[in-house]
Amino acid sequence: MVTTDEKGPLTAKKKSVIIRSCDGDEFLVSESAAVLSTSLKKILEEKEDRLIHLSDIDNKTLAMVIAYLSTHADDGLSDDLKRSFDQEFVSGKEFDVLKYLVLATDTLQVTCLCYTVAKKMADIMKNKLVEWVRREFDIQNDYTPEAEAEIRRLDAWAWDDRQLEDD
Amino acid sequence: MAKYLPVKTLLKFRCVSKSWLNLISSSQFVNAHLKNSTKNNMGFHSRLVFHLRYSPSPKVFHTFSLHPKIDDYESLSVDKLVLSCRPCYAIEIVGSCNGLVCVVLDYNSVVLWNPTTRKSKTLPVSDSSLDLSKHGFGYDAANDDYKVVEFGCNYDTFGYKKSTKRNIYSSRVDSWRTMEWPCSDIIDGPSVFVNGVIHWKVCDEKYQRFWAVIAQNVTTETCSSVDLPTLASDDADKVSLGVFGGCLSASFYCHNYMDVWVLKEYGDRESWTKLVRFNYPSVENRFVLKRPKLLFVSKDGGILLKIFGDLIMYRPSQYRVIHHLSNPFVLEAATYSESLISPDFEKIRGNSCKEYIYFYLYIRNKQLFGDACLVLSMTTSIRL
Repeated sequence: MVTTDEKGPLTAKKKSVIIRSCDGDEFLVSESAAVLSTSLKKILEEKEDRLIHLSDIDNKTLAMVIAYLSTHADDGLSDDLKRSFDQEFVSGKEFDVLKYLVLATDTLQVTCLCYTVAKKMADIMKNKLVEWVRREFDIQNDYTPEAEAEIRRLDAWAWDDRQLEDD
Repeated sequence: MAKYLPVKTLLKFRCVSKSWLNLISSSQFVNAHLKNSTKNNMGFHSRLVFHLRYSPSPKVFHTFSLHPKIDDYESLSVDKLVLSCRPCYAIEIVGSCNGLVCVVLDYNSVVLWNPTTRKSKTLPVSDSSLDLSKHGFGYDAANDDYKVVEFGCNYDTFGYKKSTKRNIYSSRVDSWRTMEWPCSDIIDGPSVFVNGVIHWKVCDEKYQRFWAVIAQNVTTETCSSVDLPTLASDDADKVSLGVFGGCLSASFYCHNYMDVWVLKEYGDRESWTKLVRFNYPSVENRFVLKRPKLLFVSKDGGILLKIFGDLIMYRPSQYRVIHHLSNPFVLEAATYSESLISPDFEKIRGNSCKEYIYFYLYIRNKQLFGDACLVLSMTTSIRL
């Protein structure tokens, strides 16, 4: 008869994981927070190792993601508080920071945060110039001037009436 | 991330580079974008389009967003859009589906129009002409096919009905087919597309007061019937059909009040639920049947109705006319969602899934950040 489970909720809470960023710094995270990331959960299920090395996420970004995970793993906080935390989490952040964040959340598969950040990015991009987008994403314009003019001509109405931002 | 952007911005961002153009034009992206905007609005359409039923060309439609406080028509940002079509006098807005609005010109010519991208397509003329016709519009998700159903009958020279037929247009083959209509009914009121099925309220000619709802599945093209809610009185001829957040609704109107019913579980007669009852001012002219069309129910319980030439917003405590046209003007109105779906189906299907994957690889190789990878990883159709 099975009466106790080693990985029961009480013991799981106390367990923690060490996550190392690509800069070499290590972060101590509770397991209940780590498993909110689908990728980390898979890693933890596959191996006993309590040290996870993430080769493509830097210190600053990882710290932010961990802050998010820890908040959402906290059972003491209400859903409303978590929602307002999400809003504050993305507000006022630079577009560059968001770019790293969205990539990290994609790698770690934190769907909820990925959605919040991607939406925030879309909000910022909404009224930007095409040139701004090329610059931010480091994209080479591979159109000939004629081809670009042709595309602009196709939906000329979309271009005219709004003040666009270039900063 | 790109799928959270509004259509207008996306049309511009096609200029960023060729790979962005391919991404934004690919059917995978268009569908992901649509799915996201539908999810955000919880199945409700986000905009309203309306036009006078009878007016000379050119046809200038008005559209506005249903999200902010729509009580104050003056402060609404109303867009005026011209539909490029052949000159005509009468129009009918049949309904909308995935951001495409189906408009019938002079009762016989059908135009599919995306007001958000401002693209339209006039459908070919059906082979079998009908003397009296009603239209329905729906999307066959199983075959990715938009269908227009034209139901009608022919009369002989003495005015007797000869036959009842339906013509079905399929966007896949871009042509019409003629099929028999299984019952000899009179269709009453506009058609309603819900749950892959076009609904018509019909009455059997022999028993004028026997009303029912005929449902035509757009995938199988078979017809069945849907039961109306059990009403207190036997006044089913005062029922008009509508959509409420992805569910079939029935509005039952009496001379001074109106009940709105919603079919919560499709196919389960018992799940008809009365959503709201509200009073409206009694009809001034008793001889005019003012059949209201339910357009939208806002989050705070406001109900947007079309009654003849008026758009009216009802609140539990008050009612307010937000757009008024005096008799005898009649409005045609429908809600729609914002999408990139093109009414010109050949063009969009030309872009294959391959383009999409190339774009993904291109971005990954260049170690670029964000959008494309994300769009892909968040699109369930392709998981790389």
